Amino acid sequence: MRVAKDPGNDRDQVLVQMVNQYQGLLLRMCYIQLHDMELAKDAVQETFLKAYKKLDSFRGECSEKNWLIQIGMNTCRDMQRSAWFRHHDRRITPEDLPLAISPPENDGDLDVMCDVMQLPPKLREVILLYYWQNMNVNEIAQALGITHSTVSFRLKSARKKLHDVLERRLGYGRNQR
Amino acid sequence: MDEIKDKQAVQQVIDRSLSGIQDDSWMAQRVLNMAHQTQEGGKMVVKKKISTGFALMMAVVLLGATALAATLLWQDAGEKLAPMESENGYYDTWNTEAKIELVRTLYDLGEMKDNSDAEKVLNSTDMTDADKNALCDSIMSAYVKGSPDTVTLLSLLEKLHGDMSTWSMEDKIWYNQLLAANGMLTTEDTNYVLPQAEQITQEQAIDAARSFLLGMGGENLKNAQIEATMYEETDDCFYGETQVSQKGRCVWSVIFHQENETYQVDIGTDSNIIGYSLPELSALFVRGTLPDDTAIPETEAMTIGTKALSSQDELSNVKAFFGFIDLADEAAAHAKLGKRVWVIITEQHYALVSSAGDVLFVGDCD
Repeated sequence: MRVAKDPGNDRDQVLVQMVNQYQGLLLRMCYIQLHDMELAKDAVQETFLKAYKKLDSFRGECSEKNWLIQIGMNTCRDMQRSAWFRHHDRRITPEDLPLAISPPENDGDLDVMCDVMQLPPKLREVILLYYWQNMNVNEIAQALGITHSTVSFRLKSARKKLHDVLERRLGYGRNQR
Repeated sequence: MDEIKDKQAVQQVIDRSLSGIQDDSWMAQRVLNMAHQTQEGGKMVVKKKISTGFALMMAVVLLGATALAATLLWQDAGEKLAPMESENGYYDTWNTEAKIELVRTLYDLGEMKDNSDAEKVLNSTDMTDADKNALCDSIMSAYVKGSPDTVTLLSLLEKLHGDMSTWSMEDKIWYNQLLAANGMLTTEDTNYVLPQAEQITQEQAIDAARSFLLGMGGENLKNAQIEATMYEETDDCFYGETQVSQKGRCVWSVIFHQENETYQVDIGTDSNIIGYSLPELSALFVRGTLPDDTAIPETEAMTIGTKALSSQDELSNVKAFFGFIDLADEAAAHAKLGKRVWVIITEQHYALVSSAGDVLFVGDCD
């Protein structure tokens, strides 16, 4: 759904629609990046605030969802650079994850989640966008503000690490569910 | 490897593992409040035309009285509000009686003049406890332009006195003392202090920081918003081989905010540079510091680094910085927390060279 360029919507209404539609996605994405639910909420709030301010300059060159993901990723990067963030231990265990509504079918799910969250930030970003959000290389390059070749290079590294994680935690590849 | 199956596995794992994350029902309202507040701040409201000369004269006369009144107002409020938060915890967990007391405190300070909801909650005799509680939440949410869980001592003081980054040193010290007096000062709070007679002043610290950044090839930052505060470090903290704080040491932290970039220089009380942060280094999770005696000289590091980069880059605009890793990636040998490195950087690529002269890593700057 494209709402940002709809001239019939006023800005406040557009924002409310964006929040309703994408808040869940952005909260999960920011949580995976920041490992902290309160920080993730702050990042999402900041993302929507930036989007609201930039609504007029959104040219529709990418989908609204990808535009918000781009802003959200940059916001998380800014927060990761802050002194406060860096001075705290960000390791995460399955017990730290928010209690799931749909119980994991496999004990390994939460371990995979933690392993993905512990990957180096640059690899984690491309995994989230490529594997979780199904974005293609061009879209990822646009969202992260990096070149097509850099995305391909990072995907190559990420692909191997991710497959190792899935295989180790879920017996995936050897004994598929 | 089967990419489609990997994708399905990742999607299922993330969707199931994080299914407990709930939307924040106040999110849209909070963002709109913040956005509108920003917009209002940018507008100039002119009620009546008066001459510039008259306005200037009135400004001079009123400035002293207004500043004094404002100081008293926000600090008075702090003195009243801090014990309430200390005794009851954060606002959103308070009982109705405590919430009404907060509304009354702000009303008495003149902050809720002509607010019919505030008058209703303070004077009504026929409202239920639950209705009063909900009305207090509504009043306070509107006041701080947020949701009930954003009503805190600090958010109320910032509402009265502006964002904390704009407070003076004296204001920040007063705030610390207020927290300490009410048992709310934690080790995570910055321990702001004022410089002693023999220590450099705020102005000298800003000049030293600006000169240092210029010397590092930076911009002059003449249009930057500057935040300069002195604090005393409260513990000895080490990142691996690097000591990042020293108990009892006083440090001037000078931060320049320019457009979307932040530059920071930490300066000792005798003008020595302790550390610094530049956008290009922060992006690599490296914090700048001065090289110690064990590090190879800059010229040698530059030679080693440029050689390592020569296959990647045209090698224009090469810069060298010394620093330490301040965001660990334990899976990578070159990114151990506190590891001291030379960063040889071009616009596209960078090389990390160890203090001993070994090339640890070559990567792109994205």
